[in-house]
Amino acid sequence: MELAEIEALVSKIKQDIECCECLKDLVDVKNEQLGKKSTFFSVALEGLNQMIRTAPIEEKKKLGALINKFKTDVLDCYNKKEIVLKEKLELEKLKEEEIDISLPGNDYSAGSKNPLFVIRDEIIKFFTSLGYDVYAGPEVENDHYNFELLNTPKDHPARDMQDSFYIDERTLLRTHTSPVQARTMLKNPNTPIKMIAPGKTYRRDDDDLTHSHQFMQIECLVVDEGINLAHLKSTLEKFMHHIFGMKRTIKFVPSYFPFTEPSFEVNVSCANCHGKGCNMCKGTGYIEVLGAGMVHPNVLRMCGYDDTRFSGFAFGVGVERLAMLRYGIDDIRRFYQNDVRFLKQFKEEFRK
Amino acid sequence: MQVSDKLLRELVNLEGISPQEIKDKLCEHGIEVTGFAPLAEGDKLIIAQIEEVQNVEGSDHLHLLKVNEGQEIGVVDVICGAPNVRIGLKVVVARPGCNLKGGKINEAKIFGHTSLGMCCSYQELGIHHKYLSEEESKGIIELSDDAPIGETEVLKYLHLDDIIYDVELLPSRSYCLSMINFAKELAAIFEREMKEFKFDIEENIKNDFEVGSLTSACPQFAIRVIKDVEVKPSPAWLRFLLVAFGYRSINNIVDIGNFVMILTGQPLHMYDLDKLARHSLIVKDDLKKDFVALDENHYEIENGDICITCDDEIMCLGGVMGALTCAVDENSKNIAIESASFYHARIRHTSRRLNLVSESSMRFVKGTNMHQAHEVLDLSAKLCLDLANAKEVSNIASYSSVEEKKTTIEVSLSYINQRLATSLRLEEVLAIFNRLEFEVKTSGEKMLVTVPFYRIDLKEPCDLSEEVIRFVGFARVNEENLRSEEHPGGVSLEENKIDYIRSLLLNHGLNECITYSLVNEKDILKFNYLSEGKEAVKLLHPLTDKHAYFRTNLLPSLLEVASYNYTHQNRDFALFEVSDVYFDKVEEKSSRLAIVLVGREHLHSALEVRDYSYYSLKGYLEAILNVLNIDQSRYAIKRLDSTKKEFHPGRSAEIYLGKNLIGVMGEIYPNLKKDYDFGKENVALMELDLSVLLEVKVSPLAFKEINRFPTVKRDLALVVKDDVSYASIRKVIKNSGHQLVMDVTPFDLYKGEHLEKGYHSLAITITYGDLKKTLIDEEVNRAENDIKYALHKELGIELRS
Repeated sequence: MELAEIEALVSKIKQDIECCECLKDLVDVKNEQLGKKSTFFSVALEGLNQMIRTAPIEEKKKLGALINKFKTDVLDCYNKKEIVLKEKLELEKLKEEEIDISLPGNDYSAGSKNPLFVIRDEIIKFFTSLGYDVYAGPEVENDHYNFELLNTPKDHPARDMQDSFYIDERTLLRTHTSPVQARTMLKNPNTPIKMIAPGKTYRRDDDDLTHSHQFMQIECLVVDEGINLAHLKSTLEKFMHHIFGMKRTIKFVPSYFPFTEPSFEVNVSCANCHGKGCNMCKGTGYIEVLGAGMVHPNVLRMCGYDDTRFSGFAFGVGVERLAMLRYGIDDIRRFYQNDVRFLKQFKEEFRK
Repeated sequence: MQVSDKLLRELVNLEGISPQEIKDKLCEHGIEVTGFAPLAEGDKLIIAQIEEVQNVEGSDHLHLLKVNEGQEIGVVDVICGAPNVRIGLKVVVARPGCNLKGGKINEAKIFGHTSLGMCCSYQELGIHHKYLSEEESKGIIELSDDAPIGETEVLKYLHLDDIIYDVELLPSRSYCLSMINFAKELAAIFEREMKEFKFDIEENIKNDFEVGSLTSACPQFAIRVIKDVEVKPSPAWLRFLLVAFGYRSINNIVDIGNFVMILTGQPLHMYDLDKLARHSLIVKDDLKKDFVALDENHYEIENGDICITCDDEIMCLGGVMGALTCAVDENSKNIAIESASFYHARIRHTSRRLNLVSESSMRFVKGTNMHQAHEVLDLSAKLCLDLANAKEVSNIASYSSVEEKKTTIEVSLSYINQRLATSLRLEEVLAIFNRLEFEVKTSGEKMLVTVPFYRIDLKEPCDLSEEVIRFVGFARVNEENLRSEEHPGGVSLEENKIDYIRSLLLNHGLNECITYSLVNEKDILKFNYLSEGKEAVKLLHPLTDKHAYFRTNLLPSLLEVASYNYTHQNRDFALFEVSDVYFDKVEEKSSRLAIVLVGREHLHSALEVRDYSYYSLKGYLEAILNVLNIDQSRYAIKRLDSTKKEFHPGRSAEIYLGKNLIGVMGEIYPNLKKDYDFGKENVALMELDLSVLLEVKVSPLAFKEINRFPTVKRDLALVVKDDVSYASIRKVIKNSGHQLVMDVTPFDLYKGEHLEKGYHSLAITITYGDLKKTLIDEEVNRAENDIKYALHKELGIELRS
């Protein structure tokens, strides 16, 4: 066989390999043309081997190198093609595994808190970060704590303001969270206190858009030497800004509670008109949010404190009211209906 | 409370100050004015006289009137439907363009006639019919013959030119129920002068009354006799002044009583002198008898009710209502007027018990000024002389145990500045006290403040600090932050644990609810497993049966919420609530968690879902125990053995921690679903008593060595009789596995074809291991064989080939 013929054969094999479109074709080429009995081995390489045997010494070396070159050429070509085809096959297989990436993800979303808990939890977080303790008190309460210790003796006119659910002559469902003030003070008289008390409260009100016989309140009490009105003011300002945002202004209006003197109603500028007056705030520019004041010396005295040394401030805020104002909820009964479509709208907001 | 602008301006000089300013300033000073509105409206009214009356053809009640509106306008046609039209009557006409409360009056064509206005009734001017006589309600206003034709200041002429403030008085400001005191507030706020009204009463007869009080509940009692009064209608100015305050005019004598009360805050009582057996009125509070009040009803008088008696016959239930026997009526000639003070708690008690709450009783309940009987009775006499042509006025017979001493409060400037965080100067504070008519003696920064009798709200230095802050305003409070202390604030341990449980459930997609604590009687008995044998707290006076008891279990409430949601088209949802429940004694409470699962849990939208079931609940339970670091081995379950048909008997359990029942869980009893409108939906319920769970003591966490040697996993397929529990299988495996069993995991559960009835097939993987060495096959084989033997011997379990 002539060298030229062999060269032609090699290049044909390489071409056949290149032409393979799949691994099966490649295997066929391998079997037909690269096997021991294939033309490549039986004809071409055998031919070359014979040529080596008959060739002069100086030619032998050359021909040997040529054989190796042909071999590696073909094998290289084969291996490269095999990698390409394997990759192609893999891609085809993955293509088949393709999914619709627009379908929804698995359901890992958290449930929602009732907005009352969202606000309550937020307030607890705010005050605990300021070093306040959080206390609870009983909902079925002795009227001694609910009224008497809060400077509201029997037949005090203020008792008309809060018609209560009585259980017996001396026991009632607490009408506010303020009894927790008295309970806390009595525990360690004449020691400083910084506390809040969130909880459920009850009044004999018919349920309607703005009234609920059950509602949630948060009480705050600070007692120490030298506590004054400025402390109340700065605390409430920070608190209101935290709940409603820095843009809102706060106004204190004189008011009355038996257990504080002086007493104030705290108003926050209307979110809608920012104090100018609109329908939402009935033209006043401000919306009533909570009641506050300096603890009445009678309360301090009755709870075992020396009122010449200690003074304090206190406030109580309705959580429903805060939630209604913040989210624009118009019907207080919504909170207690717990419609899932309502609940799902509320969660913690990340605000500064 | 309604307050007349006109009366205030009679009492204090408010010239140049608008009602809006009055409202704003009062609010700033702690007297809430919610709004103001004119008593009557009509901006284009005129007084006219009817000159002709013709029937309108085609109408059965309309008349065409020719009315004379004076020289400027002349005679015009007005159509009127009132029954009391007649020639010569002077009337009020609303001219075209006039705005009335009901709308604008325009020139109108009626039955072919042009009507140039409308003859007005009081109602059309805005006076509510409750203040009007029957004739006045039906017809147009009939003016007197001397009414000036052509007068356009008609509201003023009618004494209707007033503005009414709506005031909500706080209990501490009840002294402002007296308009004189209210005016004094305005005088102090605006720094204006009170108007003087001085008069002398000439006492021309002697008062021979014997008066006295045998009870401390009536510390002061005074009587004045007035003779020869003429009972008749009040003049229009008084009538409409009373209307402005919300009172209907009755006659001059009754109206004088109300007017004096409005002015002074002191309720009066009037006796018909000629109906009293004797001129003796003694106050007692130890009577028990029947009493006929002037409303003609009988009342049972009890010990403690304050009675004004004449020879032990009750003439008046003090502060509440007089007796019928001596009531003043239109025929009365001679009267005795009482001005007394009664202890507020007694009046509150009596008026509430007898359901006789009136303006008078309300004022006594809020507290009255005990030091003004003379002024009150002088004013009453003056009005009787002026408005009832009284001829004779007696001196005042009075009893009083009240010390005639004003309250004096010692306060220092530094106290006020410290409490209010202000930097006020002494002069500023003194100026405020001066405006409020306080008398002050100073000694350095110390002030001895004597307050007027009517300021019954002022008792202590802190009360004076309030007077200062409401007058200087909040803007004067300094900026000062609460000094922060090194105190780690925070919630209680229990609350902290509850928060973790809430977060766990929220993160699993459950929604947190809040429901009413008060429930109806039936709900107390539903799902009552954890509170069995405990009494529910019952309200004495519930508003409705729906909210009559404090609940002892949460599940009934939460199930109602679930039902509400399901019937409002919500599907596949999970709810929970954490709340305290209370039993019949104060402070006996328990903290509860309830879970209600409805429908299916969505794992991947609706493509992959899982029915809510008993196992969902058990999963939450185990996760909660895990959060609390309570080892799973510490709780036990028992099938719920109940005849109540609330839980599915085969899919429910009681949960125990030691001997304590701490919870129930399970799927709802199928028949109960329709009671809550759940259709065929899966519903799973759990209630846990957290109080016990939260108190469980757990050992602190400590590191345990992780197995360094390889473990071996072997699967077993078991054929199990249906009444053999997985827990018992697991126990047998653990006990018989040569201490090599590290874990048992079920991976297939099959029931049905190819299996004998009453049997199921269970496939499990057992993990074998040894913390000290690598296991060899032989050891595992021996353990496995013993497990198989024990399963067969102890539980009759066969291996599946």
